[in-house]
Amino acid sequence: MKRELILVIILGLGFTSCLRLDDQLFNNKKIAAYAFESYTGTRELADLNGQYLIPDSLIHPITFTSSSSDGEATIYGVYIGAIDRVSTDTVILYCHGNAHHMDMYWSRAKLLSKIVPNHRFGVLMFDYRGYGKSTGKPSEENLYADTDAALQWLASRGLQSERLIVYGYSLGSAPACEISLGKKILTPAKIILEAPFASSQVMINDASGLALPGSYFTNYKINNADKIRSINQPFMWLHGTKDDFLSIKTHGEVVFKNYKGTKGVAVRVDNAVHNNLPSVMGYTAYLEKLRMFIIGN
Amino acid sequence: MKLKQAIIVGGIGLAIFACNPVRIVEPLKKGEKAIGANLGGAVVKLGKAPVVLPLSSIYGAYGITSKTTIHASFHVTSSLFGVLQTDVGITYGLLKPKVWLPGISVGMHTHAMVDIWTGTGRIYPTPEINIYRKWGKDKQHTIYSGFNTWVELQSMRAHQEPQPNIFLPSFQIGVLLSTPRHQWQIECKQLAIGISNQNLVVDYISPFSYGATGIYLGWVKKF
Repeated sequence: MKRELILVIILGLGFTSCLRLDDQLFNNKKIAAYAFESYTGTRELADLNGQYLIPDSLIHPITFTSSSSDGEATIYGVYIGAIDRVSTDTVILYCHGNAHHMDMYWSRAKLLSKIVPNHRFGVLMFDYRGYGKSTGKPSEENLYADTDAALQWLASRGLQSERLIVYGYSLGSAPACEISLGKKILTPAKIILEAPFASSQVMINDASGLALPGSYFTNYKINNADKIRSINQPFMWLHGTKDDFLSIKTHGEVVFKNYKGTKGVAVRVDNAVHNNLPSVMGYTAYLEKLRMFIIGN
Repeated sequence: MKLKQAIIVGGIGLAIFACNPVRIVEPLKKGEKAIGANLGGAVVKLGKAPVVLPLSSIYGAYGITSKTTIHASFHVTSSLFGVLQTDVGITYGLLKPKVWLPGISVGMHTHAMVDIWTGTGRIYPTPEINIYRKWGKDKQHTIYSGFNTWVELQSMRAHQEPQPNIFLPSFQIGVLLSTPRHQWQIECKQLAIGISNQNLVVDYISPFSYGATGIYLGWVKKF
């Protein structure tokens, strides 16, 4: 009996390993080519197909290089707008969510480019490492590095911080907060978060019902709830009241509550779930709300 | 955005607080020893398919009197994530089953866990009560039902927000089927009774809008 007990304990200890969920948190998908408007797969705001069309002359596929401790990666992005006017237009850096790649979010990006009818807004969207055609492997560190590389691309085109807006949706709220801390080559003048994470620990707390540490499952922090305390730029938060993935109460409200700046705008959208907020709100109303926040003082 | 991986994260998160079936339903005889292993957890929706989370643990038990049994365990799946988890406890037989009366046992257990990454620990006292009946030619099989609750000692959760749940109760029903050399356990739990399962990163399968249903299999060898 004693020998058997010792054996099972040793076997059990042998299982103790470094398995983490870090690599499993990303829902990225590789593709051979981007289709954008003609993409036929599942996409967010699919009811926008055929509306808010962007002329081909304003769609500019781009690539840039991102460096992190994992090495260099080629990042694929798309700039919607007049690429020769990056230095003079207002630019929205769109940090997309966790699903698949840029085609999934094309409707969202083109919508943002219509905030002002005369296209004096540019939108830069890009795929994080491991998403779409971007090379490498996603990680929390790489999300930040890739977004930093996007900032460098914009800065190299002459963009100044005062005309940079960052829009982070869902997972994209993490890099959006990170670059808003003011430690990068550009600091966004305003920050918009739609359905943001509070942190990985909140995900664990919600799922378990217990105050379990996030470290039990992942080394990633994705700690927007703490980072937002150090962000003083004007901040707009949008969240569906029926968000079925990131609860408005435990994620969004906590992020907004922790914002200590003076210009916080909360937009709680009744009956919207995680991925349909602009649609439920109404596209015109959604764009107007964003326009007022971006252009207003 | 339903991430299959996030489902696993959340699923393990929930399942960790009820990651094993009842250890000791009926106290062992004085001096009797047992070892066991179990597998199972909350049922979650993975895509469109229901999946039982494969949480596992191993344990040993010893009858210190004819009414009192102690046990200690090691949680294998938790250890895969670098979380060293054990539950230790004591089970006391209040009533032995008689012709018409069921047996009743009560237990006081403690789940303790610590991660190897940050050294953060948690302790969860878990009181439990079970009623059981014996059946079969030699009354070798057992059917049981019971109730336990994890007790959250932390008053605050992430970002200094108040911890909403102090008690996470579960109700279980199960059978222990005995063969001459082994005992096999099948148990079904309704986890986290009263705690909403809506708007989470994980799709728990439950007949209700709260908690989750868990399914567990176990093996016991007595000496």
